[in-house]
Amino acid sequence: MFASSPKAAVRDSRLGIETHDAVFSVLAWGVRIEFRVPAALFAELPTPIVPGAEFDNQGPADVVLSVQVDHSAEGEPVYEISENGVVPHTETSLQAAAEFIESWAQLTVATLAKELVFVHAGVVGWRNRAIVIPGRSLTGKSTLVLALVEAGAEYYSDEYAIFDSEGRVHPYWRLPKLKDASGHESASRLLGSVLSGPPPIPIPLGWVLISHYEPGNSWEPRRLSCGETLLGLLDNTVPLRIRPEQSVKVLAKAMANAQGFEGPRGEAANWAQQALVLL
Amino acid sequence: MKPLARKNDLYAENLPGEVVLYDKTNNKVHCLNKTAAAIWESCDGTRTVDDLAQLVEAKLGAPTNREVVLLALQELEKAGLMEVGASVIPDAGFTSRREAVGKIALAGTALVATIIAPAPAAHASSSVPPPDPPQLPIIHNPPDPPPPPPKTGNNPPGAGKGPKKKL
Repeated sequence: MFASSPKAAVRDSRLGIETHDAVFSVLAWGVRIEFRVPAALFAELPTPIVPGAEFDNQGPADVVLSVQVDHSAEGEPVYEISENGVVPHTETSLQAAAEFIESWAQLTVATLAKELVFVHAGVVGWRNRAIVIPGRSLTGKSTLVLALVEAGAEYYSDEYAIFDSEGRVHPYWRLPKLKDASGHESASRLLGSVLSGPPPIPIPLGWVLISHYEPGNSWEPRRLSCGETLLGLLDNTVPLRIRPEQSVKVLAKAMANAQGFEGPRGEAANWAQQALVLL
Repeated sequence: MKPLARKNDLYAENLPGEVVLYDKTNNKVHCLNKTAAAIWESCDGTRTVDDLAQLVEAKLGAPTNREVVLLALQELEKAGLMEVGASVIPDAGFTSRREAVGKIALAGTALVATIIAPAPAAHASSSVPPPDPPQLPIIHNPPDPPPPPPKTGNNPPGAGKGPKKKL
């Protein structure tokens, strides 16, 4: 998917890697990012770097990400990662640098995509409508999404709910990321073959489920008003401060035929069964 | 007193029975329930509190008394949604605040619920769990006033604690 523009390679005896850059651009959800990274780092980046991204060097980049390799006093590599020439971050390992770049690229697209509103949320399809579970990183979205898929829902996303101007929800087509090895194995088992195929079509919003974990709880949610549900979505809307009117308008439209619920939940598997019966 | 609602630097989105307001001056988002929304929309600087009560009652088809209007005006002022007038609302009229809050609570939603719009960086992935639970909306229904000093010397239970709501 990525093309590199090879330059004269110089093997750095200290680093043991070639120091020419891979230069490429990707277009994802209307956002074009140019990358200038060492070849060794390029090899560590996932494909695609942002779900839905395609190689595209037609037109100017919205953002340029560059990586320069420096050395610490002990001679260890230090990866200086700059965005449009400003250095926001440094890493001391190749893998950490690659992980940072992947996260940065996905958040950058979520922030800058002009025609869409990205909400930090997990999404599944149920009865041709989307169940959206808003929440920041490490709030358990991936676990809840997998539990719903195991209970019979259709996978859409474990990271972002992507709303278009009609209020439909698009899939964010990537393998869910879970912290533990067993979670990762479950995700691969459930979704490995699904993700090798085309993503599902965008669907209207059906339900927004807001919950927090309380051990031993069975899920008895209260129904939220339209406004309360909208607040729950906006609280997790990536471009809200940058495009507030668009964000509010798009999500309000999406809420036209949707319902919101909130309440504490227990273990994910039980919660998923209860949720799908309720909806 | 003729309260005037603030309308500048606000983006308003009408929902069935509610209004959501994005405040561009401080990046807060407010959800007004139907009572608060009707009062806020009607505060044009020409109506007294009694005028507002009558107008809202006619609009919503539900009894709306002075206390409810005063309570709503206080919450709207706390949320920064009033221009003038709300700051001089007398607190004396709240002998039936508990009743007013109860009536509003029966309607199901808070008068004014508020969140702070997150910056994009708040959504960055992290290998460290976030230190705080998900951001809670600020509910502008005020806590009940402290009970009067006990005559017998025994303290009533739950003194000084207000209602909390989680999303």
